[in-house]
This record gives sequence, C-alpha cells and structure tokens, in this order.
Amino acid sequence: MLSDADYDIEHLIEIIDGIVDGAKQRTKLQLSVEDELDKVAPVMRQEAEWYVQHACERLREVEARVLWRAALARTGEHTIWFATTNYDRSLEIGSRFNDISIDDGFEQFNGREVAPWRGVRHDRPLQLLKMHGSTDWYQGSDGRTFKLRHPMPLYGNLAVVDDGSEWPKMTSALVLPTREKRVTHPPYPELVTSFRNAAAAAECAIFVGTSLRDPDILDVCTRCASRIPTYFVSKDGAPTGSAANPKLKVVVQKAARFIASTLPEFLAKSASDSLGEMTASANVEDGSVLDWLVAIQDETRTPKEICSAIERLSDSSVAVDAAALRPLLEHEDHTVRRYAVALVDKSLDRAEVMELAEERARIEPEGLLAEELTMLKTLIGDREKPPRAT
Amino acid sequence: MSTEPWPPALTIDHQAILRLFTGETFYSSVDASIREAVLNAIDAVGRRRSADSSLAPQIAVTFDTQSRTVTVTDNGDGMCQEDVTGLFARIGSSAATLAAAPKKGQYRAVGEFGIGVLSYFLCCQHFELHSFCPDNEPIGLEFSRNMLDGRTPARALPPRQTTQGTELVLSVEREDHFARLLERFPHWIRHVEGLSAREYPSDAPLRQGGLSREIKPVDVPTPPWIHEAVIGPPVLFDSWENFDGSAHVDVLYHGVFVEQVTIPRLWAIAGAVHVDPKRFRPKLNREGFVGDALKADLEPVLRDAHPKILERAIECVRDVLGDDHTKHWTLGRWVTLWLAVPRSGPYTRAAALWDDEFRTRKAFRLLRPGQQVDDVSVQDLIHLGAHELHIAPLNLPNADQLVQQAVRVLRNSRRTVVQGISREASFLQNASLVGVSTGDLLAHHFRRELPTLVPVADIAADVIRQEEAIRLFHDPPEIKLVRLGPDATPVVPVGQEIWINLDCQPGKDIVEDVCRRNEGHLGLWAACMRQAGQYAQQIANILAHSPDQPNRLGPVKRAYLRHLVQ
Repeated sequence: MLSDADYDIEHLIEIIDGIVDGAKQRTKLQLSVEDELDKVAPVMRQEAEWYVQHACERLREVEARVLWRAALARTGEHTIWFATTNYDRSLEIGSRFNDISIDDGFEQFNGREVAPWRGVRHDRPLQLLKMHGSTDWYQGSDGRTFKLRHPMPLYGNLAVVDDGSEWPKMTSALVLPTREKRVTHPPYPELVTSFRNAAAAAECAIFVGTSLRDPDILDVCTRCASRIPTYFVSKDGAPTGSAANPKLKVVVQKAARFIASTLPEFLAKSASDSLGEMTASANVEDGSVLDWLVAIQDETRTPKEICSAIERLSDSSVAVDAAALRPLLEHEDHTVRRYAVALVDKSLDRAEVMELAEERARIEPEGLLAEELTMLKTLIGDREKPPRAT
Repeated sequence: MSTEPWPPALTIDHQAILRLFTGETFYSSVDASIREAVLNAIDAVGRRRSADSSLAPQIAVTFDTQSRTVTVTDNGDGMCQEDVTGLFARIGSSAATLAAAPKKGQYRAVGEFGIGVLSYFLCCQHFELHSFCPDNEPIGLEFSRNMLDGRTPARALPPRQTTQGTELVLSVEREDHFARLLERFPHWIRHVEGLSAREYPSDAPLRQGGLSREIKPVDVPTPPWIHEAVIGPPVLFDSWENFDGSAHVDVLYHGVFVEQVTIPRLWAIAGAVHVDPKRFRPKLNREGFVGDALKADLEPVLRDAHPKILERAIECVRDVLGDDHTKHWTLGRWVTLWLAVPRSGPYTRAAALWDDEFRTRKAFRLLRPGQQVDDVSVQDLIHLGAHELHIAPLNLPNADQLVQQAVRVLRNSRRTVVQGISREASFLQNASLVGVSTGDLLAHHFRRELPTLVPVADIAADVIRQEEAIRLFHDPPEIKLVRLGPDATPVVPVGQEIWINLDCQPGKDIVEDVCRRNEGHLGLWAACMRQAGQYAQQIANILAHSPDQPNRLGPVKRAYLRHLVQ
C-alpha cells in the first residue's frame, strides 16, 4: 500500500480511517457488513497508530541535540513560536540537552512523572505549539491532557493507569489524520487559536517541511504571505495545487539542513528578509545533513567516517557551529583535523573557530593544519578580492 | 761414425750470419742503405774535421736513374787499405775503433758495430768503393754479395778518387728499390751540413727533408746534449688542422732523421732537435733509440719550453686562421685550443695572451627566455652588468632534471644564464684540457672580472624552492607542485622526489586527477601514467616507497589545488 512514493503513513491512516468509517456508516444504515476488510481495518489502524508513535519515539537524543543546537543557541532576543504537526519530541529533547527553555503549555514535572496541561502562555520568548499532539501527550479519562516524563507508545484500547490514583487513566492523545484532526476537545482549539494569533502578530513566518494539506496551516500560511515575509522551505520547491502562492518565498532545502544550518544563520542576522539571499543558490544535497552532523559529533565513528561526513558537509556548504567543530580541530587523528578546516570558512562561528584552528596549527608539530589553514586563507582572500577592472 | 770433432765446440756459419745481417730481419727496409751510406760519409767528414776544424764538409749524393746507381761522395778522411781491411774484412769492427786511433783524432763515430756496410747489400748485389787517404795508395774496390760466403775477396778496380775522401757507388738491383730510396731520401736526410743531392740525368737538385712541419721558431734553453733545437708552434693551416694534442719533435743525428718523439699534452710543439752522438750512442741501435731513452731525456726539455711556445702559438693561430673564427673551424674546435692552455705557474702569461685573444670571441651562449640563445663573448658578459651570472651545464638535455628545470626557471625569469661552448672531442685528444667547455673557463678563471658566478647545478634546488613549491602529500615520497614554465615536462623525477609542473596543462590535469581520486600516491601513479608515461619507470621506483595508508587530501587542499590549476 505504501509502494507509491506519494503516500506516507498519514495517507495510510487516512485510507484505513475511511474504511472503518464506511463500515460504521453501513452498520448505522443497517446494511450488511460482510467485507473481510471491514473486520481487519480497525486492527490495521491500531497497528499504524502504534507505528507512528513508536517511530517518532525512536528519535535519538544525539540527532535532536545536533539538529536544534545551533538554532536554539541563536534565538537571542527573538521571540519565536514553533508550531508543528509532528508528534516527535525532537525540539523538546534538543532544547533540554542544550539547556534552552521552551514552553509547551504543560506544567513543570517538578519531580513527578506526570505534568498536566496548563495552557499556552504568551510571555515566553520560545513557545512550542504541537498542533497534533506529541508522543508524550495522553488524554485523561477526566478530559484533561497530560504529559508523561517517560512516555510509552499506546494504541487501541491500551491505557496508562496510575497506581497512586493521583492521575486518571490515560490513553494516547495524538491527533491522527482525517477526522480526528478536527477534534474540538482541549487543548487543540487553544493551540490552533494561539497559532493563528501568533502568526497574526509575527514579523516573519517560515513554513518548514509541511505539505500545507492541513487547512489551518494553509490558511495561516496564506494570511502570513499576504502580510509579512513568509518562507516556504521544501526540498521539492514551491507548493502546488491549492497551496500554490506566488507571495511565498521558496527555500529549496531539506528540513534538517534548514533547521541545522540555514535557520541558525538566519537567526544570527537581524534582517528578516535575509533568508532569501542566504539560500538563493542552495542545492538540495544528496544525503542527510543530519546524519552527517551526527557523524562528525559521534565519538564512536572512525576517522574515515568522520572525514567522509565532513566532506559531505563541506561540499554542501552546511554551516557548522563551534561546538561541533572544536572537537574536530582537536581530534587525535590529524586527517580529521585537516579535514575540519574545510568547515571553518562556512562555520556559524567562523571567527571563533578560525582562532581555534590557528591556535591548534601553532602547536601542531607536523604543520599540516597550518598548511591547510594557509590555503584556506588564500582561497578566502582570492574570493574576496574585488573583481579586476576591465 | 761422425767425422765431427768430439767433444763438440761452438762453430759459426759465417755465411748464414752475414745473410742475416743483410736481410730485412735486421733492417726494416732498404731505406737503411742510403741512411747508412750518408752516416758513413758524415762520420768520415767528422773524423777529418776533428783534425782540421776549418774543413768545409762536402757530401754529395747522386741518384742516377739511368744506371740505377746511388753515389755518395765525401771529403772525409778517406780510407787506406788497413782501414778498409779492418772495417770491411772483419764484420763487427766498429768505425769507432778507427776514431780511437790517435791519427783519427777524437771524433766519435755514428756507426756502432761496423756492420753498417752490410746494409748496402739490401739494395744491391755489388757496390764500389773509391777512397783516397793522403800518404796512401788510392783504393778502388768492388764488393759483391758473393763475399758473404766469407771466402770470396773484393775485386780490385782502378781507383777513381784523386782527392782525400771516399766515393761509394751502390748499384741498385731493383727498380722499385731505387724509386723508394729516391722517395725516402728527404725523409731520412733532413739537415746534413754540406750535403747536396741531385738526380741524373735531369740534374735536378734534391732537397733535404728539413722540418716535418714549418714552424715559428722559439728560442728556448736547451741542455748541452742538444746541439740545436728548432722548435716552435707550426705555422701552416694543415698542421693546426691535424693537431692531436701531443708534441711531435723530430730527432736528428747529424742531420739524419732517427725518429720522431711524441709527447702527449705538450700541444703546439713541433720541429726538430739535433742530439749529441756522445750522449746517445749507447742508446742507439741501427735504426733508432733503444726504448724510451731519448723520450725520457727530451720530455723535460720540451715541457720547460711549452709555456713559451704557447705564447708564440697565439700569433700563429691569428695568422693562420684569421679573425673570422667560423671561416675554417667550428667554434668548438676553436675553443678546444683555448681550453687546452694550461694556467698554472709558468703558463700564466700564455694563458693571459690566449684569454685576450678570446676575450671578444663569442665563445659562450646566453640563454634567453624560451628557446632564444645569443652568442656572446667574455667582453659581452662583463658589459651585461648582471649581478649574478648563472652558468648552465654544458649538455643541458642530459643534465640532472633538477638542473634542467632550474635553468628553465632562471632564463624564463630573465636572469643571466650562460652556457659554455664545448670542446671538440676529436680535436687535441691527447692534450689535457682545463675543462670540457668555455663555461669551465668562466667559472674558474674569470671570476675576478665577472659578476658573481654561480653554477646552476650548485643552486638548482634553491631556485626551484624559491618558486613556492607545494608539497602534495604529507608523507614521503615527496611530491611537489612547482612552476617550471609551460615548455617543461609535466612530471619531473628529481632524486627521490617527483615534481609536478603546474605551468603546463598535463601537469594541471595530473593535479586535478589526484584531487578527484584522492587516493594519495596511488592516485598520483595512475594520473602520471596517463599524462607522463615516459617517466613510468622512474616514477614507479620513487612511488615504490609510498605509505600503506593513502595520504588523502583534505577538502581545503583540494579546493586550493583546483584553484591553482584553473
């Protein structure tokens, strides 16, 4: 069923939901239900639901940390609303491991295993709106929404029961596709409202990796595009069909590349319309920037693997921050050190890493780093020379 | 039973021995007969002059073609019967024995063994002897070959000699022998005092041979045993043309040629020396000096004379060859002479003269950028006013690759690069030269006059390093990227290094290939094979020591190298 590249797990769930819903309607109309598919469809839906939760929950900490570190470190004085329909906890984990506080609408755990929904605040610099819930969100039998410190994938009739009876029985709170996206029970109406309000007040909007199939998101995107610089980031280019919008500024990049490299650069600059210039000549790399970023920061990788990742990042002009580069410039393998110089020029912290590289070059007996740095400076110098008058 | 006495005694077969002496196993050719006849005449005159120093020697040699006779007359002391008997009847008796007699004074004869007369039988069956010695009956005798049996006596003839002296008439048996004697006369008879010769019936005078080569005589000191030295540089073009680098001096014995002494390295010496018989008699056999006896004595004399002769030689060069050095000779032949002038000690003045002669001759090549070459002289080089003069190797194509490239770099960067003209290998082979090219002269003998002279071979490595060579890999074998000009080869194996020339497209392609493959030395090998297969063996030898793990180039270095070759 997923053989066609146009379909994904959400499409699958939509299809299954359609089958289940059709069976319900026939039952309601007292029509006979003899189709075998009607019997297995609910099971399939549970499996798909489990799969979504399980897959999202398999997010590796290192990937989340690497993906978001540079951007979160450069939020500075900005007020940023992150709105996402993804269920995974990438941003939450990334912010926690980078000691950046993001408000997600829940109370603090304060030593507990469960935190109840508190409501969206509007006074925090970094706010997260998980429009379709999260893998750690659970729906209480009392109608409230909770977040577990140690979440587990639930599907079907499975529920979490607190032995101490402090909390009600809880089931999965994910807003899965089709009908359920339109559920009206808390906190989703509040999230949608907050999203719309935040967009209405924003000075710049960036839509990353979304298909704009969600009508709320498409509507907000359209409104933003008519009012403020609005960017649409996708490896496939401009949205098509009903989502097409000439006012959108299209950034052809993969989401991970954008979040890890382009967004931090953009945040470091003050002008909200600079993103277009930064990405004007960007090409979609063949491979996963996130994988490469992880590779260069994974101590278990071999020098050859690290060098290969550096090379891919360098070829793709991915901006890497000092936190990632420092260990490379100080790596015990001289080949890794030499390769790391390739990331200095495009680094998010170029001045800092250049100074670090020079310091390393001074103390390195082989002189290899020094040679590499000299060449880099020559290349930079030649590049920055004013064109010769003709 | 044998009739021979017993026990046996040594017996001599006189006829066999005499025939031995008259055969060519003793003398090398019939030439000996004319030489011996003249020498006997010289001895006779010498003996008479020892008693009467005012005597004007008169020796006449006549070749009569019709009668095929050779007649030698002299106004020497003449012979009486006793002399003839002693000399001719007893072979082995020396004319020197006669000289020992009080009546013959103190003259020391040429003939050593008294067997010279036998040489007459080399060319004739019989000869006549007419002699008159005052206070004695004149003698007229015919000696025939039959006398070699030891028993047949000479036949008496009516004496013809009426004045003191001797006449010898050789009746040459064969026509070819007569022709040879006539032809070889000037070879052997060079400068005999008082000798005149004619040919009949034409009555044409025959000249003595004189010097083998015409020379410009140089007055040089000689030891007492050399009566006269007529030596100096030759003056005729042919002599210069045929120089081989050795001295060639004729040794004469009372004007008769004995042999030519050849002494290597003493080039430009020609002429003749007349040696004293008293010194050399014990060292003479019938046809020349024994072993190297004369050469050993003569060489120091000529060596002492050599500097002075070379000083004079420059005048001959100028006279013979003129100012236009390319008219007769190649420049290489010209400079070979210059290179053959020794420069130490007594040769200082000679060297200075030759240097002056060549100061304005364009005996150097100034290597201009590209392939341009200008012919220049020492004077030109001085006037160039360069701070440094780089001396390129003589044979650049065969020079070390490093040096070749250094020369290329220097000339393309408009530095002053000079190349010498090489000696002509086939000319003056026996002379010792101060170098193989005029570049060597520059480097060693013009240092004071010229700017700083730097042989390129001494600075080749520095020259290339100044071109900011880039090391391709961090591990050996060393691979360097250098700029050697677009006309240089793309790959240059230098010792244990390989240089890649970034100035030519194949060199750039190699670098691009290395960057693309990024397989270290292995990738380089593959790239070189495509672009510079002619150095395959050398490159393979160098790269045989490549590290096991490839030296991969970092992204920056690759970007930099690509930037360089674009």
